[in-house]
Amino acid sequence: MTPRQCLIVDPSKIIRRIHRQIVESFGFICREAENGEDALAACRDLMPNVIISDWHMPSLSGGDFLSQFKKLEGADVCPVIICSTENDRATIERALQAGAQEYIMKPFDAHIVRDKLVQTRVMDA
Amino acid sequence: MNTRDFDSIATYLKSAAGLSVTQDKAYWFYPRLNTVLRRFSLNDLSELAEQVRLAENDNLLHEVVEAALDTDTSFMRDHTFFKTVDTVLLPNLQKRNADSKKLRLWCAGCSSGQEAYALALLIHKNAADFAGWNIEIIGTDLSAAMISQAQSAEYSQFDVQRGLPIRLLLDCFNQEGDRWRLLPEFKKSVTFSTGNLLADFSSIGTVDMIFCRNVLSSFDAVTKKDVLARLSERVQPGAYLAIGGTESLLGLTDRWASLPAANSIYEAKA
Repeated sequence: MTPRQCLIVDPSKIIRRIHRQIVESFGFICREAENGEDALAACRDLMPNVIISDWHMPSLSGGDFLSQFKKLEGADVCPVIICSTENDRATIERALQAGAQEYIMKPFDAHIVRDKLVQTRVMDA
Repeated sequence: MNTRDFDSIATYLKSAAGLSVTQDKAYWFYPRLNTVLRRFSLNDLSELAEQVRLAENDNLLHEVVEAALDTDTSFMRDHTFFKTVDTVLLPNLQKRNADSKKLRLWCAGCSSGQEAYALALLIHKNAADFAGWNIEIIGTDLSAAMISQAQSAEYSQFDVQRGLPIRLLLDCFNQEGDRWRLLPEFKKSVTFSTGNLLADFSSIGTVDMIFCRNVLSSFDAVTKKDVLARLSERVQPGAYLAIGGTESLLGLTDRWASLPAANSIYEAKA
């Protein structure tokens, strides 16, 4: 089976590295983007199997990224998992309404990421 | 810890709780025993062992048992397993009990309650199939601390992200700061109480499914056989027993048949 692709979107290099280490350990090939615009460009290049993205980002917010992402070809089969320090119900609802499939509240660990990848069906249990 | 001290504690754990602890596997509960030392102002594990031998302080003895219990759990610890419960076992039980419209599930060794509440949420998800049913989910555990936590139905942000889809979290829990509390309507069918599997548990009555996951492995073979024999008395033929993914009933009982294509789930034989 061809390895699955994960795109990690976060302005923080440290956070991107943490996500990469976890998701690579599950057998995914990871790409990184610092912001929403770079993420959209990466998706146009090659649509990933799953995206893990921050919510509050400078220039293009997570919500705006999602609304533009949804218009891309192949976006409908690529779940977006928002991962954010924002842990209030209102923000989570907004993210889900904007089109995110799942939401991870920081702090998180590898178990949580794994569970969310399984729930969005990009990974077998 | 020297062998004599270790043996004193291990012997006590065996007699009080059926726990089988060997020195090479005990490393994980030494830190917890250190907490007990501080609470009772003891200097070292040798003094603790002496207290266990004297067996005068019930509180201390109780804490030693609590320290040795493996309480790791999460809402849907095993995704595949819960999928089987959802798509195979619950529908089968729904057909079997269609006349009585009664369902009794027992989580034996329920720890902080996530498994029991996960079952309540699963049944809620399948509410149409169980409309008008009398649903009872019973959770028992040796640890009073765990039962207390289970009864509160309040969990940390970390705990509620393990195995719970976000939509289910938002729909079924109330957020209180950094913690999330299960809404009362989902607690209705669930009751918790302390209980020791070594003791008589016939007062539980007859149940349709027993979840005894990752509990039996802390017992030795003799204890496992005894517990399994008495678990068998709590069910009618066709009832289910679920054990942990890495556990096995081989050689321990002939009252249960393994289900094809469902690892760790067994059906009570006629």
